[in-house]
Parts: sequence; C-alpha cells; structure tokens
Amino acid sequence: MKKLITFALALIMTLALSVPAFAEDTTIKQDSESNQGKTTVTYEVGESYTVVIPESVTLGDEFTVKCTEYNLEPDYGVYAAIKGLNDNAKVVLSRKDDTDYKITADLSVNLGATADWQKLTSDDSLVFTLAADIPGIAPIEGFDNSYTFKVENAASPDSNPIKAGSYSGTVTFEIGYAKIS
Amino acid sequence: MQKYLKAGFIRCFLNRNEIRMHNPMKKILAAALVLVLCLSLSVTAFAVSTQINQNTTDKTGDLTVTANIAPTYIVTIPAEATATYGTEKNDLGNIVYNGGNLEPGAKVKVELTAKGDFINTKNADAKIPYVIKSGENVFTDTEFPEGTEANTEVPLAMQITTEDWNKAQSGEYKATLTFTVSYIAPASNP
Repeated sequence: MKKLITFALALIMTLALSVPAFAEDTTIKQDSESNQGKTTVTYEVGESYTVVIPESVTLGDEFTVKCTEYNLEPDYGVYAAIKGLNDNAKVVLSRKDDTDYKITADLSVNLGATADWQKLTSDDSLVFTLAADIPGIAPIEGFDNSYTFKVENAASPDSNPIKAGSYSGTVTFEIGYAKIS
Repeated sequence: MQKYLKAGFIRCFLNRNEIRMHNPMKKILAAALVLVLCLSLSVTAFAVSTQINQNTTDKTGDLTVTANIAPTYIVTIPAEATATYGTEKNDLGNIVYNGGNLEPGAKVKVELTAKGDFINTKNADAKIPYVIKSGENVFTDTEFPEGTEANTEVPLAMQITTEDWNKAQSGEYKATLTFTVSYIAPASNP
C-alpha cells in the first residue's frame, strides 16, 4: 500500500512538472535527410525621437515646436497635441496682481512656405504630426518636422480697452507616439 | 667621507622635505585659485526649452505666453491764473486727472516741484509771499491711483494774507509754478 501511494505521488509530481519548451537546435548527421540547419536571428530597435518645446514667448512673436531627431517604426508617427486653450481654441492670459481679469488671444499656425497663417478655431484639429515613417511615402518636401506658431490679437473680456499690466498664460503641448491610421 | 655623505644626505633630505612642504601648499593654492575663478564666473541664464523623447515620463511641455499692455494717462495742469489784489484765496484752477489705464497698484503723481517767487516784474526785490493750497491743506502733491474716475479734479489756490497784500508795492507780479507728473509703477512682487 505504501509503495503504491509513493509511486502514485511520484507519477503525479512528474506529470505536474512544467518544462519550458525551447526551439530545438538542428542536429545534422551523415545520414540526415537534410544537411541544412536554419538559425533565426532577431534584433529589436526601439523607437526614438526628441521634440523641443520652447519655454516662453511674447505675444506677437513666433515660436516653433520641432522634432529634432527620430527613428520610428513603420506606420508610426510622433505628434504634438495642443492643450490648455479655452472652448474657442484661444489662449487665456491672466493679469498680474489681478488674476480674475483675463484676456484671450488667437493661436495661429504657419502651414506653408508662403507664410500662410491660419488662426486655429474650435473646429480645427489641434494635433500636429511632427514626424512619421510611412513605408513607400516620401517626406513632404520642405517640411522640417516642425510647426511655427504665434499667439496674437489679444482681446478684452468686455467692451472696454484691455487693462494695462503684465499678462501670462500657458499653452501645453502633449507629445505622443502612435500608429498613423 | 661618511660625515660628508651624511651631511649631503641631510641637505638633500631637507630639500626634499622642503619640496614636499611646498608642493602641498602649491596644490592648496592652485585649488583655491580654481575655486575662486569658478565662483567668480558669471553664467548667462538662457530660457530652457523642454525636450521630450521616447523615455520621458511626462510627455507634456508648457509654453508660457506673456504680454504687456503699457499704461496710459492724461493729466491737465492749468496754464494761467490771475490773483486779485486783496483776495486771500485766489483760485488757480484745477489739476485734472482726465483718465488713464493703469496697472494694478500703480498711480499717477502730480507734484509741485518748483514754486517761484511772486515777484514784481519791475522790481526784483519786491515779492509777495504766498502758499499754494488745495482746500484747507498746503499742496505739495496729489496722487491718482488705479481706478480713479476720469475727470477727477484737485482744486488749487494761491493763499496770500491781507497783511502781505497791504505791504506789497504796487505793480505787476508774476510767479511760475512747476508741476511734475510721474507714473508710480506697482511694487514688484517676489
């Protein structure tokens, strides 16, 4: 009885063992059907990119958001999504020492070599693709992986002239890496 | 010979000691100089951009937008006024704050910076003393802080006592008052 139980336990333990299955090496002998063995080599290169966002800008001046270098997987891109605007896609600036008083300003983007400025509205996409790797599609000529913007046309919150003082506001750029659909 | 040898050795030894003593001192001095140089270097601080790459944990960068709206104001100073002989309080007109757009905490200051003698035009020795007043107070300056209503007036008067009038030599008298207008910016916050 004891021997029976011991044998059963050993059998159970043997069956419970999990053994990792490795790819088998090819062994070739003089009488092997094939004298060839294949070795599969794999190597992974992770994506890399760097996006530079300026720290500050004065109303009316231009600024650029740029992807300075990138190495992407096929069909993937690096984008910058603009956050922090109000519902009308305007930049909000608060008055120093009187922060309840706020003005708004337009955020415009330069879309081409002709220095065409487009004022962003709530209907526009606020996502800008800075770099992409699309097999078979060459990069857009003249595009240097950057977008130039400017904040301009400050507007008073009421019918009165804008109050004198120093103002500041924030535009946030959120950088993402995603498959381009 | 041995003595000389010993003497020679001692001198060398002493020299080596001296050298050993000098070297640490030189090193200390050199280190101190380098430290002083490093501390005295002024480094220009440039605005730092945000760099985001594939390994950056927080992939957001904030851009600060700044703007400055310059203050404006208009103040009117009376150009001329006439004093009447024997009148103690002669109306000179009003300093008028016509309006302005000032920064929070700022103010416009109007100061009487020069008060010329009320002097006889034909006799420089003949002068009539006077005081410039606004209401019951001697006027030296007035301030219009942000929020002051447009067309706020500050009355001015030339006060001459009856006694001084009676002492005055006859003739035409003239005085020039100079008012200086300045913008007092708000105190900077830390």
